[in-house]
Amino acid sequence: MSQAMTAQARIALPGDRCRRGAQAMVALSLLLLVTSVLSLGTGASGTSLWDALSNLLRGEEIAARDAVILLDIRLPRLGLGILVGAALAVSGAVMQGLFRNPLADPGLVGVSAGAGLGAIGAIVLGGLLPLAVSESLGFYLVPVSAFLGGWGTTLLLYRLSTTRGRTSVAVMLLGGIAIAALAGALSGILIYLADDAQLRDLTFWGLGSLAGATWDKLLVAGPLIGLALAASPFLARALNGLALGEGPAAHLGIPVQKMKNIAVLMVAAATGAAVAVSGGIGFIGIVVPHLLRLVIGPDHRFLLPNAALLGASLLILADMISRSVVAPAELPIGIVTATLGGPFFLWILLRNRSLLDV
Amino acid sequence: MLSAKNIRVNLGASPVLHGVDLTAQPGEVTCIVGPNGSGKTTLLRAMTQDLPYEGDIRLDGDDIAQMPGWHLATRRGVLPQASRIAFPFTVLEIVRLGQMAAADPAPPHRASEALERVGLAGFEGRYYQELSGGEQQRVQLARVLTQVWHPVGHDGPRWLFLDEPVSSLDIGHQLEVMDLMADYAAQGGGVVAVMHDLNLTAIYAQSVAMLAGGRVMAQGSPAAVLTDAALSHAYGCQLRVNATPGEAATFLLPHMARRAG
Repeated sequence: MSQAMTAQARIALPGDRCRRGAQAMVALSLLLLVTSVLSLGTGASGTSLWDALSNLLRGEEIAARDAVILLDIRLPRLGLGILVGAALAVSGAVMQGLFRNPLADPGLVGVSAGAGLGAIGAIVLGGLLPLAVSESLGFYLVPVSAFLGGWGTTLLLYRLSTTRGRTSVAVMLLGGIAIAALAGALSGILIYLADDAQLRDLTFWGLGSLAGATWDKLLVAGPLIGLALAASPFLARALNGLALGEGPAAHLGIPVQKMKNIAVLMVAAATGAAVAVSGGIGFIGIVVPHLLRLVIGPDHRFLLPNAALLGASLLILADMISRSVVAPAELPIGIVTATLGGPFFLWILLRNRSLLDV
Repeated sequence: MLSAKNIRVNLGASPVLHGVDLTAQPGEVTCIVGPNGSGKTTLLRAMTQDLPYEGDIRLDGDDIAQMPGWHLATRRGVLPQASRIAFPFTVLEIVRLGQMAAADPAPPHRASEALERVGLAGFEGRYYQELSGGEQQRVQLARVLTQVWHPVGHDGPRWLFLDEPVSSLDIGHQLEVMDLMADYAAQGGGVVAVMHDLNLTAIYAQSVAMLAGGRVMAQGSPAAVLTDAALSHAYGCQLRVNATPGEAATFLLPHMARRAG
């Protein structure tokens, strides 16, 4: 075994980072496992995961209160954190590949704002829909409209910033600011129109938090995010080719237009669902792919799965911080990710200054 | 055979190519020459479907507009002019992108072999973005080469479409790349290149198409096409060609040229 491995290591060429990408996947899976267990064991109630587990092993009953806390509060919250963290990080990586720019991020360029507008629209105006529509969508109304909002903004942004296969970074970033501002203004108008019950819903939703995670929310966000994440490996090869430019990618036999459409849908679905269940959580989508590119390189075959793992772990960690710094109260998780992510983003910006001078 | 008939391209409202005909044979290096703005690159980009065109383009009898992209990718490689890459890929990772589009699976050392052929042995671990313009161009050539590695496949010849492959290279590497093109053709592949350097064209091309004002003035052997009259007309200055003794390759010295007027 070890002989085979050293022989392989000898063959591995300099500049070949496939092995590192695979090793990172193992390491990050372990990290996710560890953070998940820690997260299940941490909380304001002081319920211990270990006590519960050892009780279970000794064949004793778990106290009803502990069972509720573990199974109905912490476990769905953990599940939602994994889903949302993975969704945000992978959407960031896909969007950066699509726009051929490390600064593209759904949160930064207005996609999250568009998804937010969709979600707020559904909460405030959902009552105006024909009963048949709102009843058949049920719980899915908010995430589906968030997805549509995100899809619309991503398409608009791509049309704005890309002419003849070339993406203008300046137009992308400035267009994103305009779209985000517009979506914010429309959201403001909707909030102004909302009644008291809707306002309460909006406030809870807008905190940018994993608090209030329930199995229902998980069931709502799960399919959309799961579908988007499952589609992402099929985009990896195309995104690698796209790094050369749209023309060269087409000459590699990649169906560029089709792949771009899938990428836009994927980003919209994952971001839309994440925003619908957790509000706006920033910076995961830009920090995670950037960190990974430094370590394993930009090959999307490894970048995308690793981004999902690291994104999930980081969001769980941020959630643990948000639950513990002001315990028993909670800091909105958006504040935690922004506090850590903002300076990091500035650092990326300075490193990539040349990319902006186009 | 590559045959392009009556190719028309408009960029915006203005026509850039007015019904261009061009043929290229496998086993030959075909060069497209002409002054700036004559439509050389536009013609190559139309023939590789980077631009929408009117007309009929066939690769070994098949209408390229009807062929699926993956199939075309196994039969032709396309080298663009200088290109920037979005993320910090290593040279090896870039070259392997070509390999993945190839018809046949490649042995693991193929990328290194291709780098050696373009004079970049040992560059595998370098970052593409940190290379000079000429080195980047050769990395891209190595990538294209791995895509259509064998000049003849089971279903016919393979093709290289190269847009100014030697424009940013020093003379040693220019010769290296021109030799590579000649080898590829000698083994049965087809090579179509947009060229600025008329002397290298005269030495290496079996067929030259001279463009001016979006039309083909002439296509044929270098000696037949690169004449005083044709060159002077196309480039808008007085040019005199000479021939080397022996193998009689046409050459051109700027010393002998006079600007018109």
